Amino acid sequence: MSPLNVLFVDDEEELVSAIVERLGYRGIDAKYVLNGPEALELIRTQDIDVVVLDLKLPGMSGLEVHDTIKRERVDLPVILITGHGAPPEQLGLPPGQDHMFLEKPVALDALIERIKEVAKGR
Amino acid sequence: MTETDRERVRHKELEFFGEITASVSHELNNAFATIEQTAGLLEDLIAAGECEGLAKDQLQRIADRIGKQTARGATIVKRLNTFAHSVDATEREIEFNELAENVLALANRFVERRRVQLDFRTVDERIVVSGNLFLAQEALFLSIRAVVSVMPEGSRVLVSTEMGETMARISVDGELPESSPEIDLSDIEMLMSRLDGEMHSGVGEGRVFVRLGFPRQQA
Repeated sequence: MSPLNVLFVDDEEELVSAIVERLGYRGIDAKYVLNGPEALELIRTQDIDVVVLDLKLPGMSGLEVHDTIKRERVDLPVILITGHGAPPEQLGLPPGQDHMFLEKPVALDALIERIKEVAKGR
Repeated sequence: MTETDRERVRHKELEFFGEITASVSHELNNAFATIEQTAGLLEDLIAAGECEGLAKDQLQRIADRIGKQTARGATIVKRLNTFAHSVDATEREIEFNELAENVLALANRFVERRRVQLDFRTVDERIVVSGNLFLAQEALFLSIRAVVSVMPEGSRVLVSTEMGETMARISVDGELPESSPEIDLSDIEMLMSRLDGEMHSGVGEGRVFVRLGFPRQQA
């Protein structure tokens, strides 16, 4: 079975690079970008299994990135990382959908569990 | 001021306090999360038995990262503490450089998200006025937010200070593309009136600005 390809989108480079390196020790092939346009470019050109997306991004917001991904690749699982713990409606996400949330700071085990869970459904 | 006005003012102040603390705590959260993951990475390296083969520069990189994020956290806490104490007195000395530096730091996350460059230019002279520091911070923060919110990505906004004959001024200026939406500055106007100061603003003709004027202290 080939390793999972996970893309992280977060402008906190030191944080996301440490997470990516740690996932590498656990058999998950992860990479990261720091903004939305770069993420969309990668999703269009590479084989990505799961996206982990911080909602607070500079420039193009996490919500805009999320909506564009869902328009272009409806089957691609997106795990949303949020700092506020607000319900989807308050974050501007459409209600009634099964959004995948994790709150910062994310425990690595919980993150891996969630990545595997959403990847299984593909 | 009617009771409804007073209620509205209290609500706005709490809203401002909440916005700042939410933004600062978010930033603090990121610093802690980075420290946690970097320490975790070191544990992973040890568990993987790679510690003996770890290059000195790799260990140094990890130590630097933890040190940098700890310093970042300490700066954030200090800034938050200064902000929290700004409500201690209703009348105190307000030094313009300190005011601008603190508010620029507090507004940083919002400004970064908008991908706008915020510059600060001050005069050599030390400018000190007397007034309510909390309200002054709120007025400047709202001014920056109002100007930045209509600026396109990649543009620059200048915060500058100026000493006039009767008023000390702090301005937020940005160059705008041709079409520009109107911005609501009524809250800032009300704050400046409570500070016995004045506000001038303009939108259009390629420019947007908000200028806050505080009465100069009598020598």
